[in-house]
Amino acid sequence: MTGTPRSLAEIVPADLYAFARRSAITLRTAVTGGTLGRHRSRQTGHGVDFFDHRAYAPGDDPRFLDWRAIGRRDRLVVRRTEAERSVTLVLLVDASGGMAYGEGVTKFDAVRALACTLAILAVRGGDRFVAFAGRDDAIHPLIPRPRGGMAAVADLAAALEALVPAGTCPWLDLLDRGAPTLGRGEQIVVALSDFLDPGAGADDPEEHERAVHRGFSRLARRHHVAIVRCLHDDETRFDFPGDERIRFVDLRGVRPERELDVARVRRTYLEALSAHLERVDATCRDGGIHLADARVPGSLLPCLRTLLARLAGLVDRPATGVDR
Amino acid sequence: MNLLAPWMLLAGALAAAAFTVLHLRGRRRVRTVPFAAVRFLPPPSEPKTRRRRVEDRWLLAARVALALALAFAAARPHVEADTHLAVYGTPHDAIVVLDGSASTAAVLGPGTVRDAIALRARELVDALPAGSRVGLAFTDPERPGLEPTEDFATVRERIDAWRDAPPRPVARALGEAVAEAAALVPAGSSRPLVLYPIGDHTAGGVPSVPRAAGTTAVLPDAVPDAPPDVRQAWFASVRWTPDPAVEPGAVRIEAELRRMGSWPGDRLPVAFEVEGREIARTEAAFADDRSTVVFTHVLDDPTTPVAATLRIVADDALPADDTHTLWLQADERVDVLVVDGAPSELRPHDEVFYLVTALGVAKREPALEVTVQTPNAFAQRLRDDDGALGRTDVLVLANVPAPDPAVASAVAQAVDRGMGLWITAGDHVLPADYNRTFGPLLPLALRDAKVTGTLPGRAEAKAEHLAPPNLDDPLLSGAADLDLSTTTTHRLLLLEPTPDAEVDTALTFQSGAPALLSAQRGRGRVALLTTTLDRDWTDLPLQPGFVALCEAVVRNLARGRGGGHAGRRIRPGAPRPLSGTAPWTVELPDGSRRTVTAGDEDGAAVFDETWQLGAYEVRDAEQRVVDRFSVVFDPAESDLRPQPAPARDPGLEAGVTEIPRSAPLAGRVLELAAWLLLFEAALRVLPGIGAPWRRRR
Repeated sequence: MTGTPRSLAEIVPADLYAFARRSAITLRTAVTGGTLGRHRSRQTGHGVDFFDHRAYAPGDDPRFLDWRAIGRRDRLVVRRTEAERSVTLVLLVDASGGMAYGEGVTKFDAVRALACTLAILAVRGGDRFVAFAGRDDAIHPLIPRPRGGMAAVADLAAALEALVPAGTCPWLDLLDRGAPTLGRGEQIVVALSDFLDPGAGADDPEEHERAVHRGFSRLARRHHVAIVRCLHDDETRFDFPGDERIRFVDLRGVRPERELDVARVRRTYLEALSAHLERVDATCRDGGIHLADARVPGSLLPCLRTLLARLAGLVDRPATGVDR
Repeated sequence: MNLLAPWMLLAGALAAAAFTVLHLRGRRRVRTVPFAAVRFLPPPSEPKTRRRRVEDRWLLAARVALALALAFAAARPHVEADTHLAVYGTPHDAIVVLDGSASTAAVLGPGTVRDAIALRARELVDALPAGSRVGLAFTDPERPGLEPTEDFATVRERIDAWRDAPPRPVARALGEAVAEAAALVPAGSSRPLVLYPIGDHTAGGVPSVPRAAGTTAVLPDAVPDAPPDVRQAWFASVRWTPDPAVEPGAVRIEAELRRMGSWPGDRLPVAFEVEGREIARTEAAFADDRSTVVFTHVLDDPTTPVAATLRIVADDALPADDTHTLWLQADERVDVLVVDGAPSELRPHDEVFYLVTALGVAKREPALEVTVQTPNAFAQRLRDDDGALGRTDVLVLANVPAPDPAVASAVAQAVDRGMGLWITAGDHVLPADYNRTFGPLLPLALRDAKVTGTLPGRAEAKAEHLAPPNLDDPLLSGAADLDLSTTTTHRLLLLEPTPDAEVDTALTFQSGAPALLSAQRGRGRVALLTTTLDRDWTDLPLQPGFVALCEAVVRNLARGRGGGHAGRRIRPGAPRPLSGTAPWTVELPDGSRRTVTAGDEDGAAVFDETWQLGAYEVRDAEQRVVDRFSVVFDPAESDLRPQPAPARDPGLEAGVTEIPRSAPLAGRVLELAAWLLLFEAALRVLPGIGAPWRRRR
């Protein structure tokens, strides 16, 4: 990368930035574990929302006596509230070569903007976040330990700015590396990628891809897992000029190049892509993984709204997005 | 082998280079696109890629070869042939006479006959012995010749300019141009003069060339004959006539077609068009090389002439003669103005009673429209309107006193423009007055009247009787079985014998004195009957053949105007006299207009820009249509079959050198280019054509 590193305001589009300043990440279910924060918890404790009453026992803090209930019941009761917990947001960013696709705005630009926006949302909600990137078949810890505050977001932006997409993303290693940072309670894991070729570079790509899906599904049993699938219009529409012959070179440097007549292979390509996307959709649906699609070029706000809505349980089913 | 235009090879090399560059630039390029979803793309088929590379190479080769072949053909390669060029062996003045007659526009093989003639002319110029001078003459009368010069480059340029000029159907034959070509040599030249007419083998080409032009030697050279299989069809003749029996306003058009060469079938489509719109189409059936087609067409307005065109709908060697345009009019009539010199209240005593009655019963078409006037009324009409005779086809002066000079002058002008004049004798015809008034208009000068018959004191036996008529005479053309043998004539006008006078005699008395004679005067004809049209001097009106005689004379005199008011047909380049008041506006077949002002001192105007084939319309100063005519192709030029040419003058043989002639190769090269073009197209259209080559490798 050349030139002066961009600021956070330059990396995150204005509409996303404005949205992040007035929104927060809300989870559909109460969390367990974790430290004090703003997310609902299955435990009682210091909080605002009413949980239940119970009979006063010696040793209870007299500040929790509910005098109105005592008047109605004529016995001492204490008011219990839901404990509010904080969560850790784990950002797993795909920095493989495939994310470099796009003229002007690349898929990685979009992913970088979304990662920073999610980090802002987490920090503003009192949560902390960690971030890892997979590039060149290696893990790049961007924010290796949970951190909060806008300084951490700025560090994340700087780290992502310094990252040039290349090679393949080691998804299984990334999941392994991200998991220990999750701690005991429920946390939020957001993976940002095109997920077009998560098995690229492995000896058995198809099996490797299935293993990655299993890893996400396993993670989703204990945590809130979301996938941001970022695709370029060229990939979903395959709208190259019909009379052109194109030599396609794999950006990840793994697949053999293909020299083809666009018009002849368009239908085959779209069918194969559609089948793949439906497999990913099924994996997410079956594994309880939240899925949000981002399109490049275009506004990322709909994707972010979808993602937050899914995490908050406002939208049930993920949507697929192949233009056929 | 030599090249007549070697610089074209350079052009060919440039074209080949351009083809190569364009091919390489225009070849389908492969764009490289880094892509993230390569795993979903199907694997490419390797053989297709290799085959396209093969096709590209063949395509480039075909295109380059095509460019080189075309350039080679344009360089006009020639090889030595087994024919020879006859050239006078010693230095001399040569005049090359180029045949530009209509038949030279015929396309034979790779080019036209005109191209072949130009090529021969250049060969001839190149073959002339050193020290010679060469000039040029053309059959086109409007193309100026070139006096003999030693500047051969100029001569070649003039030959090329003649070749590249648009062909004009020139009516003049090559022989006529040869006769005038010797005049190009300045008087007093001491060099021998040889004329080299070069033309085709048709009637207007080399066969029309005399063996010698006076004392000048003539060495004609004919380009190769039309191949036996060359296709050529043309209109040999087209006749038309009103056909009221079918329907009022109907006209019947009958065309005789000829054709030569090998045609695929025995039929040729012929279209009939009126004012540019096809009305009908039929097929001419050829049992041998002749056929006849007939169209019947009903005109919307029988009184208004319309331009109609017959068209042979087929490709042949000479497209110009595939059309024949003519003016049609359903009620076409012959206007006959009879000036009655001795009118009478009693009709049988009237001078023209028998003539008008005879013309009134004429059955043939076109109809005869007879108008009778007294001499005074006729003279007054001419004084009031100079163009009064513009629509009169035949004027009959029946026993009319000699008119005043102004009237006589108007009559003479009308005759010169085509009107027929019939003068009949009588008591009012005074020979001295007539000779003074009409002078050269008369076929022969008049002498006194001679009394021969049964006047009191005369014997019946001395009356004059008519000899058998001369049916070949122009006045009696078309008349059959004229029974005038018992005619008895008592009195007749004697004529001044003039030995050199060109006079046609249709009827004579048994004594040898002419009874009916005529002479051509300008475009019109003047007839003279030396006796009366009534019974005063003769019983001719009572003869069974009188009706046929009158009709034949009137119709044949009317031929000068085409027999009626529908347009006449003339050959290309023929002058067309204009009548009416100046200026005239002539509308040409292509829609353009020409204005003709008054012509010579006599006021006679002629329109001579008649090179376009098709219909012409002439309007006078008052925008009245005063003439319509059409220019049609000369059928003699259409027949491309070789005519026998005169043998070379034996007296020339000693001085003539035979030089081997070269034959053009352009045709074969062009044929090769056509195959290359086909191959190139196949490479582009058929994707698998390179596959066998690939397998062999």
